[in-house]
Amino acid sequence: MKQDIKEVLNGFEETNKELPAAHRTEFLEKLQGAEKPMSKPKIFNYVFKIAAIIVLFVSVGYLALDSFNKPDLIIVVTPIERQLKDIEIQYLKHIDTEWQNFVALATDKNLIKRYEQKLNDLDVGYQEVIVKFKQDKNNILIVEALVENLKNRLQLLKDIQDHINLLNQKTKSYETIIL
Amino acid sequence: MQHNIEKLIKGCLKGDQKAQMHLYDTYCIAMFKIACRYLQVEEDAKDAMQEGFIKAFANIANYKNDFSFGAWLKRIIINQCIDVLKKKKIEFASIDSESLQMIDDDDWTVDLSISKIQIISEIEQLDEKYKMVLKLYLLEGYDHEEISQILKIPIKTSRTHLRRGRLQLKELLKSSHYEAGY
Repeated sequence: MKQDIKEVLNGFEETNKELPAAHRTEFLEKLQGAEKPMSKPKIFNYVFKIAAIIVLFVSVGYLALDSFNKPDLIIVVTPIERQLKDIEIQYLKHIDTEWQNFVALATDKNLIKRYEQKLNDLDVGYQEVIVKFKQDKNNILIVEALVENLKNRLQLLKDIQDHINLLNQKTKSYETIIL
Repeated sequence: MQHNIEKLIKGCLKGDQKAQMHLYDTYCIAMFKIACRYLQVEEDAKDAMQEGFIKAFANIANYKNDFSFGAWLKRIIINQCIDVLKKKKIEFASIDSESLQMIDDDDWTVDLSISKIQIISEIEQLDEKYKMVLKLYLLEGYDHEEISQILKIPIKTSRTHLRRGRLQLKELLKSSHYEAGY
């Protein structure tokens, strides 16, 4: 013959368990002990909460300031980010020198303005891709796009300078032919 | 009775200590017995039961009439017991979760000559994680959704533990009580 455990245990109640005699007075003490501190901790809680909020604000403020002052320290988290940052610094340095050269070389103000605009547009594009990079740091396509952007800026400046040089040389002497 | 309980609950909402003690007197024995299912030392069970009552009184405003007060209280007491067990670092979720679910025969039958007490004592011998699910399922009558909420484990884990626990229990009952022709 079989029986079902589920049915056997349904409504099962222990019979041999008894509470100690003093449980009632003990509970009353616990109850009173639990109720009394109720009113005090409220004030305490407020003090605690306010203190916590202040600590939070100070630490957030400190972190924000810290990251503002030393962006590198915060940004450099993964090796790929560090590498990209290095590449970015290198490129921007080159771009800056090329830009100075270009400004020194170029005489046409409109041309300078137009190239400034071009570089700014590229920079806007770069910042947009940087946002994507921050979300997805391991995407090689994004990293490539960023480097490509920097490369384009540099190439742009080099090309225009070559072009100006070419024009200048052509106007200076007809004897030299530069390919 | 029910009307009386509602009156007492209203009293508790106002912080009336007499009403609180009255509710305690009404439910303490039943709740103590439930706590004893999870905490073997009666002293621990009593403490958990009393702590549970204090928590219940502190949160009495959250009690809604959807369940009976006893069921609500029982849930708090069981949670209290589980907190105590957790402090003893008993893990309820197992890492070896099965990806392949076996076809569950859900066979709970055992030989008729096995007594209730034997079954209970064999449940105590099970792995802690199976033991909990089995007790919540068999003794408290909770379903897998409720068990998963109480133990904070996925429903699937609750099912797996119940099945494994059931098989282990039947094995134990078989070996302690030789079944002819099985």
